[in-house]
Amino acid sequence: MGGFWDQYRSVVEFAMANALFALGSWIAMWAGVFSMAGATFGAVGGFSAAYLDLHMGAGIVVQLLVGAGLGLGVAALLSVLLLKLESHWMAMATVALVLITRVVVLSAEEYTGGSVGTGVTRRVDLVTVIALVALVCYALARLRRSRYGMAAHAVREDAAVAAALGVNPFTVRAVAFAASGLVAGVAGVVLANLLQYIGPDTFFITLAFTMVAAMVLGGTYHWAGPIVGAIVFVGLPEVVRSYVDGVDELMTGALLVLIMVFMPRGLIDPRRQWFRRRASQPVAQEPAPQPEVVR
Amino acid sequence: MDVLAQQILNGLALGSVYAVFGVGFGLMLATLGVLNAAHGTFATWGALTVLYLVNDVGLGFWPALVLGVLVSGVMAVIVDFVAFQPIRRRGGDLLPALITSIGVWIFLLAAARMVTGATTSRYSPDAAPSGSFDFLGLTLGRTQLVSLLAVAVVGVGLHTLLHRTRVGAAMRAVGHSPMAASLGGVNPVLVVAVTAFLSGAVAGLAGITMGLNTSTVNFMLGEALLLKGFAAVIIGGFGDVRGTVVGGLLIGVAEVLTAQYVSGSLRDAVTFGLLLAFLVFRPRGLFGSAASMQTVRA
Amino acid sequence: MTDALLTIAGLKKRFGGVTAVDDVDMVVPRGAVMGLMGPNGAGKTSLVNLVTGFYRPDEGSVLLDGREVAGLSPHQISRRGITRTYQNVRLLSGFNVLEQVVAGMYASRKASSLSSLVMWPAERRERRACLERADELLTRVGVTERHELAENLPYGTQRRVEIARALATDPQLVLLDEPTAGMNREESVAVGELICSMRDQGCTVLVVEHNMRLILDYCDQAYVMSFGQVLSHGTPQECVDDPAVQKAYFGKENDASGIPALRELRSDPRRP
Ligand SMILES: Nc1ncnc2c1ncn2[C@@H]1O[C@H](COP(=O)(O)OP(=O)(O)OP(=O)(O)O)[C@@H](O)[C@H]1O
Ligand SMILES: [Mg+2]
Repeated sequence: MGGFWDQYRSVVEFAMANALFALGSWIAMWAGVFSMAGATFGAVGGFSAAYLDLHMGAGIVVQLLVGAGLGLGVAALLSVLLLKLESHWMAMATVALVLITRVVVLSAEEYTGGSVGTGVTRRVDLVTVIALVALVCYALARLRRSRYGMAAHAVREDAAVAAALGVNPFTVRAVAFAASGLVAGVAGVVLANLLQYIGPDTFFITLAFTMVAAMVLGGTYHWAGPIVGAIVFVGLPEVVRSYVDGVDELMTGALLVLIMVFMPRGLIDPRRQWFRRRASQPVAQEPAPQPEVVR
Repeated sequence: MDVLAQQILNGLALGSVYAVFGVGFGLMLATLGVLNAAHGTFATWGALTVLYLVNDVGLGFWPALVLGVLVSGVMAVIVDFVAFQPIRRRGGDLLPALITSIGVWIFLLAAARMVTGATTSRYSPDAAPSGSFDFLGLTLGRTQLVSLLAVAVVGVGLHTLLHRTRVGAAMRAVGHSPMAASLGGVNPVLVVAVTAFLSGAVAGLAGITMGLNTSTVNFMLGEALLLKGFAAVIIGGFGDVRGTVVGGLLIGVAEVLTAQYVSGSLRDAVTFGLLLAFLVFRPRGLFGSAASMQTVRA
Repeated sequence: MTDALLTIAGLKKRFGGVTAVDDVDMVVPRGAVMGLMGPNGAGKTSLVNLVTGFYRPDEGSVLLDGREVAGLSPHQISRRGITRTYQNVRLLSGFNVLEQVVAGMYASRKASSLSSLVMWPAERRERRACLERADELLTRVGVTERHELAENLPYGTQRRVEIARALATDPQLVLLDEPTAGMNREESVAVGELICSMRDQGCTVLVVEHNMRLILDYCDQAYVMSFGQVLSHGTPQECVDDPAVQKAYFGKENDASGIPALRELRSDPRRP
């Protein structure tokens, strides 16, 4: 057991950091917003943590709070701009946002170190990272059937129907987007601490792709999906690497395609029977009348 | 004044590479409904193929170029068949196809890194077009000329194909509904394959010209193209070859002028700033119609 | 006269060349069950979409209780007390039957979602109350399933779940778009009885139906639309007897009496 931890400690840490990012994306997806802007909010969290560390020697708690707050704030501001877009344009706009983030990081040299990047003192340990993931999961599990949680799911499934039930889809999406910024901001702080060095390419398109791929791979219909997805996405290549060298990324790519082709709803799908509570009453055996085909 | 004219010419040459790539990328987005994250790797593989044929096999540059373009095109057809076709058949939308394209991207990028050993290569001396000549008092590199020719051929050729031929009509229809395309008496599977081939082949051509212009080829070559080509498609107006060409040229000129007169570090800022501004304030771009946006939505 | 709950005046909606709703005036008295009939494509669903804010009217006004609702967003209109069901059932995939109905209680739930993070007693009590109320509503519409995914249920049951969800919003006015489509006769009768019970509990109902039986048996008054316009208005029997209506439905006036279904309907004594 000790051997396992020594060998895989950093893998687990990175898997959990990625899980935080994927959870951030999932929170937006909860309300039907497909966003890759997590990389941007991660950059906000990561570079603010680096700055706090370097200039003020701030501890991890302060870093996390500031990262969460800034991620939330930036996401809330951007939601005004982005959420009025039709969903596919919104997705592409978040890609553009990630591209611009790198430009901003490069030019805000004073705060970010520009192209050289900046070092960070490592102040998180595995337990902290796991605790953060657990905290987010706890919150999502509690919220799943709360007033907001049901509204978010409703907006994702059918925004017009949700609106007819009194839900304002824009508000629900804005809240989800802001909350995803909060979690991604935290994830950025964690990643900066784990890497101990961040630069303009840390929070770039690769990270954005990774987080959404992990989310979709794991499944977008339950909060456990992104965590499972991140573990598979980060962990599997490591396991492969310990057997065969050099093919881990080929495997990851191929696996992602295969899973999406054969399990389009992802690994964790609450609709699957074994996942659901047993029905309390037997379904009445009435013959189902065929729906009349009305245009 | 001369500096300005020269820089505009340089910008057009650079922009033509973006434009060619963008046309291929946009073709796949508008007609096949795939925001293809792996498209840049098609360009990379085209460039790597040509480099290999020229340097190691000793083939002439032009035959190598043709083969390189073919390789990229075939690669796109295979990728479409393996990763996008199953999702399209399910009626899935942009999201799952984007994710499988990310899988393909990881795969092809890693493969490119493996075969190149992550090193940067150059063409053997005199194996590829090089040098420059005088053009209306300005200096035009032969490689730049190749890019400008490429954008002319691709732009005019593809626009004509899409709007003047039966296959082209079927290709446009496939984007809106595969059913409609088959009604026109054209086999939809074939139309999809042709579209994928063209979009990959054009990307390969862009990769090759990019390699010529920077005179270096490495496994990351296509990544910058992907981002700039994406910007060209959105700025120019989605699903319109002319728009994408104009968008690409515009980006090229804007980048070169920014680097010349403002700051080299702001090159990307201009392009991506324009990209975001267009997405937010004018999603249909310079030339796109509202109807062309339907393709992606549906 | 009973006072009007819903007053529609000069309502118009065009789609390209088609005028789906063309200068419609309509009054739905408070506490009434109003029928809305018309051939396919008459504009009935479009009218429902206009009243609920799904479409923005090109012209005209929609007053609920004397207050303008035309131009408001669907969620604002819903909070004013207008709710609807859909011609093609639109349940929310992924929710079980109870949750479908609880989803309708969004506007009336008061406890903050954040308080659920600390398992705040008030929030838990409210959750339980919502589930209990959903259970009652489902019993009322005659659905026995509770924890099944709604999308796996028979079509007729799904329609009734949709009605329960609509009732969960505490509406003043419910618009039912073809609630008995795809149902057999027995089920249709049950829906008719349900509509009456809704009225008895203070709801006003506008029911779009092709099933004339239902309109004749359960509606107090009816409107008939054709090509976007109101063709006829009166008691359901008056509407069915109106030659213009028969022409719209059957092409020729004389043919109508030859159609057994209609003849049967006409001879059938009206329910009290
Ligand atoms: N969103 C829309 N876009 C374009 N045309 C529309 C739209 N909605 C309705 N229409 C048109 O308006 C007309 C009325 O349609 P509507 O659905 O309201 O009829 P209906 O009376 O509900 O018919 P049915 O009995 O078949 O349900 C039709 O010609 C339809 O094609
Ligand atoms: Mg209808």
